Amino acid sequence: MNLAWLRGALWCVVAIVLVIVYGSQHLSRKHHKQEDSVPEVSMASPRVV
Amino acid sequence: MLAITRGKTGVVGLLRRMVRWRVGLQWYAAALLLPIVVTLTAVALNILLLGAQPSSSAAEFGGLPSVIPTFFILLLIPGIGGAWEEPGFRGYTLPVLQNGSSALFAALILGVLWALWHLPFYITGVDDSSEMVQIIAWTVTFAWLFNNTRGSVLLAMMMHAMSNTIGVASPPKCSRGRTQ
Repeated sequence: MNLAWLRGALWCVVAIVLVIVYGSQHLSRKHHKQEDSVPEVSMASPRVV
Repeated sequence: MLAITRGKTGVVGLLRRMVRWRVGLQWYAAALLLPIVVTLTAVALNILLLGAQPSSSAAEFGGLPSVIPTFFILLLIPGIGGAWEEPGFRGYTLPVLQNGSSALFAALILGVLWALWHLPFYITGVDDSSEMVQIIAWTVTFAWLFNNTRGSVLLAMMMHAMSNTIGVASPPKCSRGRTQ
């Protein structure tokens, strides 16, 4: 084992703690996960003659 | 890719995320200090538990002031150090993967993709293969930071730049007879 493996193991510990504390669904207690939003297509309103 | 799939709106949205700096100070602290704390803890464990020889040479610590300029070089210059991978990985891919799946699952999938992206470095020996494990753990941490900062790519870039700055700076100082 060397320093690089130790560091990798510590990052794994950090990740596990974050999942336990913040939850796997959003990894956040305040904000929802950031999702890709499809831009809304603007449609012209029907013309009333 | 973003220009093709989302057009101008998508590109502008990504650019806004890349300069989204209005986040709590605690997130700046997390982005900048977490990589330092993890690396210093690893160094300490390496010395205390595994018997690595700490350097007593003051000259080696003379390199520490270069951490700050190195950080800014990695952060600001595209193509150096990997921070500019973040617009692609966190800015574009993570929100797409998080559509309809949990943040953890999306992060793990992205971790595998990110590790594969670096595969040429492992094959050629430029990077240590242990970094594959680190990268997958990183994606969970980066997803946590990204989601808590309402999608700030800037903070992800800062964390990436600091991780690479401190990672490059620390290993040779306490290696255990291993050439790196």
